Amino acid sequence: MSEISNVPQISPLHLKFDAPKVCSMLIRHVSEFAGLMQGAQDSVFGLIALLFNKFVPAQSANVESKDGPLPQDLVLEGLKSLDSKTNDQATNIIRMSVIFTMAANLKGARGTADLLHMLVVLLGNKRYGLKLAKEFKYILAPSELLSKENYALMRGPYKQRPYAICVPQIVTLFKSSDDPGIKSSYLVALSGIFKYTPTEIILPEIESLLPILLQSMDEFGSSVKAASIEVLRTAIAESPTSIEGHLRSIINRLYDRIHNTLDDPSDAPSTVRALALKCLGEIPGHLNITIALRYKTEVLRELEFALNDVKRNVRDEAVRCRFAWFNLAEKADESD
Amino acid sequence: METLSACIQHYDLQRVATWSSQIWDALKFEVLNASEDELADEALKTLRVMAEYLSYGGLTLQRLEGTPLSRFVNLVARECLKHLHEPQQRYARQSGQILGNVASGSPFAFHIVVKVVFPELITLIEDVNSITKKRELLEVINKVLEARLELVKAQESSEFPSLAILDAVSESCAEGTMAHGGLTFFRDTLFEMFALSLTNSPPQESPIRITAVTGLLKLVKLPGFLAPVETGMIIQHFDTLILEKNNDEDDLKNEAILALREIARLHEQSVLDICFSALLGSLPDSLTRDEDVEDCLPVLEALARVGSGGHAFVTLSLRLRNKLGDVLQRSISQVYAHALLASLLYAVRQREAAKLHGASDNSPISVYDRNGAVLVEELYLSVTEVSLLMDRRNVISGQPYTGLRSFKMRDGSKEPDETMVDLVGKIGMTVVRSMDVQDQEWAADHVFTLFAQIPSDQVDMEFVTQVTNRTLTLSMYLIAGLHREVNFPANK
Repeated sequence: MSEISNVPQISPLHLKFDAPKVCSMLIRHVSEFAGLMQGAQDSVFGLIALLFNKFVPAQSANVESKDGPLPQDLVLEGLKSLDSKTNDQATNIIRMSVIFTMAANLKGARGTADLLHMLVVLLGNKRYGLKLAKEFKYILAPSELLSKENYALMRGPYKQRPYAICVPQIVTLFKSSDDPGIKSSYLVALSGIFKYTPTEIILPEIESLLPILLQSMDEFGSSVKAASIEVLRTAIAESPTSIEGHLRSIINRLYDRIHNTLDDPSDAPSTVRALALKCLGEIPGHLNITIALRYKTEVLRELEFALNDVKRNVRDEAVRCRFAWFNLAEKADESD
Repeated sequence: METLSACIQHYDLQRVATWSSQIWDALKFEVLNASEDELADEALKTLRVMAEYLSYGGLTLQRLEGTPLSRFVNLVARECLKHLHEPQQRYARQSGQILGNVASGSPFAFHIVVKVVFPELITLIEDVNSITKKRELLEVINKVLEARLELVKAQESSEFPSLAILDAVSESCAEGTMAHGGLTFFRDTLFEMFALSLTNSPPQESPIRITAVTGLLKLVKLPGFLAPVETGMIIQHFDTLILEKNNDEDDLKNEAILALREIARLHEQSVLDICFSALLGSLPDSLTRDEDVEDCLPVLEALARVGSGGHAFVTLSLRLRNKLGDVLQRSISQVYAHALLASLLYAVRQREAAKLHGASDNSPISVYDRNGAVLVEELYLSVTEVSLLMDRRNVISGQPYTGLRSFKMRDGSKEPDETMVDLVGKIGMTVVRSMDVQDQEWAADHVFTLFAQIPSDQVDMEFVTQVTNRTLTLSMYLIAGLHREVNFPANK
């Protein structure tokens, strides 16, 4: 832009390219204006996340910058004012906050913990809790924008942090809550966190989580079921001893999922039924044979239903599962 | 066998020569009746070392007759020929491997293999009726040509006379001598044979056609071997393969595309002239139904893959951009335009991947980046235009900003839809992120003006976000590609 050479080097307008300032401005914009155009919200959220992660320098603690409050604080404020906003605005604020938290968590920015705490508290919000719960996985999901290829700042225990901060808090809140709607929000959020947290981080604490996982298999929608079954499956394969004591209840709940007949249809779609069979099939290879053998006859009997399932992929999985259980006896026989 | 190789390399020539036929007898079974691939590979390697070391000692093409090398290679070649003659051809594949390895030992060994094997092998191929058998025999030729390419590659560091000189010597020697009858004598026959195998084989016989494609590619890759006209014909053959409508054989198409990409590295201009025109010409100017875009996708993919490197990329991006303008004017929907942009994005990603894996693109990095930058600027400018802000009563306030451009399409003007803006943005991101920090300042200068001719310090973000936030997608992708250390204009 050389033709405008007489513009002074530091004009007030120059500050408009100041990344922290643009970032804060966009956050305010999302929090205060309702009319974000369709198709542009994601770009605005993406911009905020990119600017914050890559171009907003870390602030030293307790220093209010001369440019006004920090972006983190602006986001927190937005979340606090949720109830006074219209539906559209609230949705925008929630989605922005989740993406912002992702960006903050990646670089381990100051205030990440506060944001995570705040989000967990908001899961209990009657109006927006479920909406937020569904977005929770984006805190951890790999992002196309903030990636290594795009030079995103990724440091510290960003894979563990949301788990470490949110899960204990969610479990406590889950136990003390009576509202089934809110309870389900907690589980949706949990399954989102589980989905993208490396299993070796989840596994050591699996035993304390089992009650919640089992309950979520019974009560909630298919995505929660699938998530909890998936977590169980890894638990069976990676740390069989921790679930030995709960095998009876696990197996019973898996039966309920795979039991799909015309008169008594299963509450789970075919993908979840197949997943449940996969999970059931992990037991013979990993658990102590003597414990597993006790269930052999009844599992084989229950599998008859799954072998007649209307869906091909379920039948496929049932055959594999039956094979696994069938083999179990032969191994035991040989060792006798 | 490793010991054997070492011995061959260190014992004197005479002693190795005496034992060469016994060694061959011992090794051939390892290859012919290979029980383990490793053993067979090692045996092949030993044979190759043998051919190489027997070639030292100041041989010349004219005096090959009666040398230990000639005896050894003759022995091996004749025996392989015998296997190829067998009606069952049980050992065709192995014979090909043996011939290929022996031929890659030295230019002299190569000469003898060609001289002994090719005349008979070519007659054999012409006579054979079964397509499977024919393919196996063509594979043998491919193996020998492969050896030639290896020799060409090793030529710089080898002590042997260069292949070009040997070819010239061979051509000027009298008929009937050992030196007469090198590879150049078979140029036309080989070219014709492969071309016919490609075009005359029934379409469903893709294995033999793939073999033919590989063979033709090897011929093109031999330096100075084929005339430009012949190279052009080969490129045309490959184009036809890509454009074949009822061709479900993806492998064959894939092979043709890969071959064209390799040829593009050697004979860029020919590929640009022949291949791009043919492929682009096959794309319709507009689509009557959106579903027809399916038909264009394979061609667009081929274009993107062939044209992802070097100069070809510049031509490709220019041609596709022009096409994009035409298409938008004549179409009702933007679906076809999406396909064109997706193909550009694909090309840009291939370029990025090539750069990450040590840049097979032979243009210097700065040129490489400039080519990408030109594409991004042009594309960004084609979907945006400078507007002036208006207040609530539609009074122009004089604030310039970059907004989306409306396309004049067949049924009136329309703004680019979400997918279109997204694709343009992703192309921007991919190009920007593969640049160095310094070069990225070009993009950092324009993250909000989007390359429009307005001073970046006059863009009022507060207004922009309210009035025209769809262009923010374009800004977002530019910023996504930037290094963290890049200099924004404000920080200069």
